[in-house]
Amino acid sequence: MLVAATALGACCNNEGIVIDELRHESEAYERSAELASKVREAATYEEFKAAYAEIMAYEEAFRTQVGGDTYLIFLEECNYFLNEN
Amino acid sequence: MKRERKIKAMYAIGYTLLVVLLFLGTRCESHPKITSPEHDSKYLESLAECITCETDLVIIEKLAREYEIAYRKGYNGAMATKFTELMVPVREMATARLDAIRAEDDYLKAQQAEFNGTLNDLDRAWQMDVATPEAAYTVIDANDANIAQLEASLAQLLIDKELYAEEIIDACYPADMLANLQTMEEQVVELRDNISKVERENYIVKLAYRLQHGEELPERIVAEPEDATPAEM
Repeated sequence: MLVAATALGACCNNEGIVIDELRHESEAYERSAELASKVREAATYEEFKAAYAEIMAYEEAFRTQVGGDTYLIFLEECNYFLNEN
Repeated sequence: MKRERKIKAMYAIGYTLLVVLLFLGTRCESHPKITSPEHDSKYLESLAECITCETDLVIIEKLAREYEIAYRKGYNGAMATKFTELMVPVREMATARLDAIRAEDDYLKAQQAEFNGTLNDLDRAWQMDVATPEAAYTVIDANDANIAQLEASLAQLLIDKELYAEEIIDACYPADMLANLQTMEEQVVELRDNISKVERENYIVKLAYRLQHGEELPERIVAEPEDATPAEM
């Protein structure tokens, strides 16, 4: 349990996020769907806060490490999945 | 005496040399090296294709003016005019490129605003006190009353604006009345924005209920009116 919690904390820490230089566009599509779904499907406020921290960390990672069209893709896809009815 | 005259002469020569050097120095300002209007306009076109911001456009404009001056001084007015004509599509392309860059930047900012706005709304929804449907509807009812007030104000303002516009036409468009009309238009926009914001609040209340209870906010049960007349057979 503690290991899982630590792993969750590590993956939410921006310092550990490295966007793959070669497949950053695919990663933008995949991560946005995954992270936005986690945010939407959170069953408790605590789960939401963890998902929120993770999506914000990836947003910063895409913005600072990649930028450009890939960052825009990440934002657009997140917005699509977050607002999906 | 002779020595004094010599010194004065040296000072005069030195001063004259200084003036001449200064004069030549101003003439030696950097002018671009001109080749032909076609070649030079193509060069500036290649620079314009690489514009990324307003500053780049300013630099290209400055260069274009320097080229025009260089053509006027180095050749004649006809060459300078030819260069200026060739620069017309280049300037248009540069401006269009900058407009496109600005539009892209605005779009990115809108996406960022939506991203942050949606997450903030979700955060607020999770923290909202909607323990019961009644608690949710208390907030919604207050918001609906606010919306009704705002919409009434908006309706009145639109009527007033239309009447005022007619007065402006009758008065032949005086500047102060036009300024007042502009203020009224800004007030219309503000009212519409406020209505949207309050409607968004109602959405967040319903979202809050769904997030916290795992189901949609139940519809309010409204007592059905008794039938006044029997249905026809």
